[in-house]
Amino acid sequence: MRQRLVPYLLVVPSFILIVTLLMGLSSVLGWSLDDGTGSGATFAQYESLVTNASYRRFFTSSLWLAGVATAVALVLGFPAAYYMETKASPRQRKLIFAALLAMFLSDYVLKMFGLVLILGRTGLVNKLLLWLGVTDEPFRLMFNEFGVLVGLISGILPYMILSLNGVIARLDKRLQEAAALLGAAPWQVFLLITVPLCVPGILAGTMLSFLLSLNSFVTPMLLGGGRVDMIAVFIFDQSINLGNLPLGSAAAGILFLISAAAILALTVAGDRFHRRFQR
Amino acid sequence: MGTFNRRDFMKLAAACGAVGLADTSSLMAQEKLLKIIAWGGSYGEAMRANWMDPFAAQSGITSEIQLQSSSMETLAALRANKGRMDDDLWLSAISPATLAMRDGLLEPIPVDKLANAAHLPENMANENFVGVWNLPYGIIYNSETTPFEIREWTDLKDERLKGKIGAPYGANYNGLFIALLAALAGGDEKNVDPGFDLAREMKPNFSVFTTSDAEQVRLMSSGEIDVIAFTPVSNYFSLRKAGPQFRFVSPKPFIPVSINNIVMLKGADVEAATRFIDFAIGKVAQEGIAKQLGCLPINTQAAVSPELREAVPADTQFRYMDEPTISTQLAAWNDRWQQEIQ
Repeated sequence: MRQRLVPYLLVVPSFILIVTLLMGLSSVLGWSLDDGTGSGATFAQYESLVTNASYRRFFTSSLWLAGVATAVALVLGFPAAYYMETKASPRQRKLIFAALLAMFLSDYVLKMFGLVLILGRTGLVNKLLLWLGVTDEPFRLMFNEFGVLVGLISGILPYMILSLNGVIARLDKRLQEAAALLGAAPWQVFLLITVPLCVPGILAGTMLSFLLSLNSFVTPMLLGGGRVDMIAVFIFDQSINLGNLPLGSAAAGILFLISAAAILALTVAGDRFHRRFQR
Repeated sequence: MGTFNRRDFMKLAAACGAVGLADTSSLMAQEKLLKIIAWGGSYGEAMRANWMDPFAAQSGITSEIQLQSSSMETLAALRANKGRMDDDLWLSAISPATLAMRDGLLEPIPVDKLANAAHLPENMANENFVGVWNLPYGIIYNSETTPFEIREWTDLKDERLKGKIGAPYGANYNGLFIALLAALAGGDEKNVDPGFDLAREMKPNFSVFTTSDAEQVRLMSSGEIDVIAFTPVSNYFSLRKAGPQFRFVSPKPFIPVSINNIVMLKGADVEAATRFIDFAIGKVAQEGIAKQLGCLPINTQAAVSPELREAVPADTQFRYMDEPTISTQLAAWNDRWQQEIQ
């Protein structure tokens, strides 16, 4: 009897955590429907977010930046993960893995502050460019979309590489060898064999990277300088700086829906691809 | 030797109980704890040194700070947790305090029990709030990297400052910068269109929009910006430690002054909180905190520190903005600022 209870008891902490998170989420939902009198419910906040162009801009800008950051992270991360698993010596692999782990585990705010020191007007990059005589005036590398994109990409790159790495490590190399023996050029082997086999890792990495970028708050706050519109900053601004909890909560609700839709779309795409590939 | 009967035992027990109770009540008086929501950093240090520690020594009432990063943030928390917070006092700007009053989050302050209120300017002590210090705002610039000496607000339009200025993020400083620009351009708190026109002229010079004092100081000391368009004088005293190249200007024709105030929250320990407020607005406490923070004391009997007098000369014209009016329009101003200026 006691043994049968053990699994249930082990689940209790997770259950409490999930219930607490759901309570927080439902509280946000409740605020988003608040009509200001405390007695009725209204969708006015949602309507305002959808109809007001300046509010919509925060969503479109966030989606655009998250999409670009994810695409760049994929393009940069795939060769790195592929090299790590197929070409690197065991020693090199350990070194790269340790570097990735360090990036993965270090504090996010600290990482972004590090970028401020690199990208700033008096930062490393500008000092180097001035020293090389490339420019007379320092470039503005942050407080714009470029700076935010660099921050987002550096934040999500470890997630992308580690997601891809797991899949590439399990690749059946005999399939690539068979394709090559049958006359496929290296680029054909890569595009028609390697990439399709890596799709689960690509989807997992894309999902993680896109959601982390979409919800990013620290990066636009530190590297955007108030000039780059991202939705998490809008939520903070409305809820905290302006005390407009209903509007901030409604924006959080929409962000949650967008995130859920992205997860669903990528999961469905993964399932379809899996079924097609099995045939 | 007498016997110890049941009646004697009851008397002894009662006596012990009475002594115990008396002891507990004195202990309770000693352990009375005021919870004050306030800013940390230099503000927290100054409050501890000039208000909390001396007040505890004088009254036996200890107090602790519950940190806030902005008073609007506290307002959001108070609204979300209505009736569930156990804080007594709140250090706030006028606008959030006005909104909190409308939401019924405040306890009336018994002004008649504040002996030191007599030394405060008119309307600085009422049942909703009591002013604790005046914060003058001006411009800070780096004299080594700024191509000319800044003297007036309109110098911020000068094209030689292109990309060199940090300006406040829309609602930062409770919209005072927007109200200032409106007043400079011939408008006022109810007509900010001229202010936005003026801001558009300055826009090419704005490179970053800051959200806090700490961010302004960090960007300036790291050389990321050369001019802070609008900043409390207290930031100058923080920056001056980084080098003599940083200058504070009290620009012509006038500088805005905001009053930070203390309010009593619903459910506060009224008696202890009232004693604390009275202590905080006293002459000695005011001189101490004003000197340490670099602000103007609210108590008219308190002397202004020489350091502040150097930054804000005696002939400086002050302008008190209509902060309650600003608070009702802040959200709209913030949206417009983000859309048109940021």
